[in-house]
Amino acid sequence: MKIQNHTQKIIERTSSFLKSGVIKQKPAWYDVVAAHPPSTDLTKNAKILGYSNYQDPLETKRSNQTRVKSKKIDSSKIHAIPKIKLFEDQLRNYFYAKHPWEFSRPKILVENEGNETNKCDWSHLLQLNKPLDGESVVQRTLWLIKNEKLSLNEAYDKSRFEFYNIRMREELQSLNAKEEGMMYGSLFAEDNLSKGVALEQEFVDDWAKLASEQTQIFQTTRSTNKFSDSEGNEPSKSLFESNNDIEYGDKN
Amino acid sequence: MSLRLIFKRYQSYSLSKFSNLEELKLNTSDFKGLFKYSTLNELYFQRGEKIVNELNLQLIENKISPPSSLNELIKLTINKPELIKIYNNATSLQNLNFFFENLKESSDYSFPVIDSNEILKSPILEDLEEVNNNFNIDKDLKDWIISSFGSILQFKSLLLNSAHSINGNGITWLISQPRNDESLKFSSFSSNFGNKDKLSIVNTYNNGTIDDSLRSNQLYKNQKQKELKENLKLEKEPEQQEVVEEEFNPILGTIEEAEFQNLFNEKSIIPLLAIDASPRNYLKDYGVFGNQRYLDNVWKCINWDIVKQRTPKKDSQNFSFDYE
Repeated sequence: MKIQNHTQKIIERTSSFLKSGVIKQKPAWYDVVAAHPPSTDLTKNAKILGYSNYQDPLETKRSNQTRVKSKKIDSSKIHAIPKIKLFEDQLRNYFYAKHPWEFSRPKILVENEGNETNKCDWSHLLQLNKPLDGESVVQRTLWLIKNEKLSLNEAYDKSRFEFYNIRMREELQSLNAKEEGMMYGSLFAEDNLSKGVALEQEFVDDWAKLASEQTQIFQTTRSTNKFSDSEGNEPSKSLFESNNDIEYGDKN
Repeated sequence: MSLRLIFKRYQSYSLSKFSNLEELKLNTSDFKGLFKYSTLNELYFQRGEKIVNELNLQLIENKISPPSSLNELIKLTINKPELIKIYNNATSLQNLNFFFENLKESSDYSFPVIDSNEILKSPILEDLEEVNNNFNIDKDLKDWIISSFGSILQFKSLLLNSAHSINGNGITWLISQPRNDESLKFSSFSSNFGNKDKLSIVNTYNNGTIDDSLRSNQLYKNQKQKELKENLKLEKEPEQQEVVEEEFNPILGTIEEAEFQNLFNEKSIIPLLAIDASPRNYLKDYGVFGNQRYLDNVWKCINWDIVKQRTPKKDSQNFSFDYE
């Protein structure tokens, strides 16, 4: 039998000898060591000092070092989750790259149980548990590939066109629901866009007033300039030129 | 003269008699492709009779000598809230006639039981070319539809989706909208294309009528009235406020004002096709979930010959201006 110097494996080895019948009787220390297995390897191994052909030249320097340097370990790498690559993600990326406005639709990220998708049946695109969005197209494509044995392009095109059809219907529905409501006398709150336009309109009105005054001045100066042409004054050419004259004229 | 007047006073309206519907009534047979006989009877004959009776009763009650056409009666009553019952009955009679006039029976028909799965069902994808080729109607009308909507498939989906989006009582119309606005009169490219009327699709709700010349400037008038009321309120408040109001004098109007002023300028809209999307039409034969199936069947049952007859004549579409 070979000399065994791997202390931590002693119990493992002895039990395998017992099992195979090499040792008939259980040694006296067996139970104790089994209950308290050696935690450290206390055997001293000879260190190879000096250059050896079998060694990696990069490690040779280290083999001469007697003190152990504490290595810095990048903890972020240890805990980093490995990249999961899924086929669905490619489809998702493709769909949203082609339909960027789908991102602008509000989406609820809170889930009640976390298995909402299990309730969906992708033999049809519309779902009771889920609003229509890009994810529906992805899932429907996968279902079509699996169950109707369509090729990727066919399946994607089919679910995409179904999606367009339903989207068109939904959009017209919401538009006409508003129209219908208004016909029956509903009043809708002012939206942000029209609020902004109204705020802007105040300044536009101010400007219109100012501009009309300036235009009047411009027209009168032009008509007087026409007469003063013989004196060598050039007639001003645009509203902004005359504007400058009026504003900075007093300072000069 | 006096005889005429008396005759006018006792004139009353009646339900239009369409030969195909009368024949179905005689044989008590289904309207193939769309309605069972009982539904047809309820929707057209019974409902029509009820509307006609109510209308004639109201006319007698209000002592109105009715004009010869329903359209004129609608024009007379639209701006009179006290005659709303007459207006409602007159428009619903007109809409009913209009809808049933543009229907014809189709060859394939069945009334399957439609359950709740219908609302989740994926739409059937149709081929653009196939729909175009299978759509056998008058060539001029077909070209006109294609030039207005892009393709037959686009027209079909817009028409049926518009009808599908109606929740209560309502009708989806295909209308011809004249393009004789001011901007075109002086544009350089007027000749043929510029003057052609445009087809579009609109919805009306309850007893809406399509003739928009009736309500020209109505929105603008309403707004003016509202402003007047607000001004009256302001007058009661202290004078300081009034001075500020006077100073605020916008030179440019808002976009809405301009739109309201030009929206109905010299336009008369001609209805070509009506699709009644009210729930009463599909509830009996198709059930609660049958809206889409009903509309698909209506598409097959549209009588395009009638639609063609209703289109304005080509001569009237083109007009020329003398610049003398």
